[in-house]
Amino acid sequence: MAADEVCTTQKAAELLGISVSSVQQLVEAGVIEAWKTKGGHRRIPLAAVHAYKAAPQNGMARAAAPAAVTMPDAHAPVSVLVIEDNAMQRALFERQLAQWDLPIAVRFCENGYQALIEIARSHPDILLADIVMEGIDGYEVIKTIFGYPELADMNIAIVSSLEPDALQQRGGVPDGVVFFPKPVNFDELRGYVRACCAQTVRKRQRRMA
Amino acid sequence: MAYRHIDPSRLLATVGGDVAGYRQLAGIYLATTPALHDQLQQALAAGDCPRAARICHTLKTSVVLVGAHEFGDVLRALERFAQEGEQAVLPLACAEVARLFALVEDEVRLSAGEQAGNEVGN
Repeated sequence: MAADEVCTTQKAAELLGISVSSVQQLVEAGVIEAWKTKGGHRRIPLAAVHAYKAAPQNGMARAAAPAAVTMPDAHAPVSVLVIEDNAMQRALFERQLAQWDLPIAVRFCENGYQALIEIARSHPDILLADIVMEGIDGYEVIKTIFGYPELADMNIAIVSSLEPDALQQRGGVPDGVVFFPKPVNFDELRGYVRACCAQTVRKRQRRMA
Repeated sequence: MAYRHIDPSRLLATVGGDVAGYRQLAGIYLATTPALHDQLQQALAAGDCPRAARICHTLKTSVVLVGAHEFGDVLRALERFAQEGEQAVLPLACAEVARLFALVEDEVRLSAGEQAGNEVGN
């Protein structure tokens, strides 16, 4: 393959508008084709990068193809995934959720790519998703989840400071998704998560019956 | 001290009056926003609307948390201009964004020190 037909991880990150580590994760996961030079440097075919960019749904679908997940015990902690690119807001979420005294296990992702990999790996019960993020945004993550019937039970909330008209321009809040504006009213969010916890436990009990 | 560009009571209320929580979040503000500000300056100078809109949005989240209402309003307006593709407006905002960013950063740093003093006093 000619030198001008391949690129570095750095260049691929620039072309895709994501971090170098996200590209590395996609390569390691086999989502984007790549090989290493004798010196140990990754080389990625430009065609693979452009194909991924041009068909994000396909790329995401491969990244997010849900794995078989063992059904947890009815009273196992309810899993919550928070996607948030702002470090201050993530710290605030972490602090608040730890104080809620709810049976939850929380994980955090900084971007949509990490989130799709985590969703495929662990099938969280509750997703709290920011919308405006570099690379894959919250809407694309949610759209991808909707494409998989095995993820249909996931409780999904958008947490965003997007103005109402900007939200409408992006297609509004999808059916079955709850919207929480920022700054977050954590009392309201706690009520939502608490209700989701109860519903998740009932659902697990029904499945085990 | 009287603050003109942030409202420390806003962040303090968000963390339920916990001084350690205030200092933690103020520390994250000081550690993470300079890079965002640099990226925003580049996007504004280049008239890069999609990038400017996204960075304004992310920076706004931090700025609003520390109660920097004036800076938050400027970022909100800029985000709107950028969303609407008003490319020519963006470079004009560079100086004002830099000025407000510096003023807010100074006060966040001061307030974190002041909260530390209050914690010792208590």
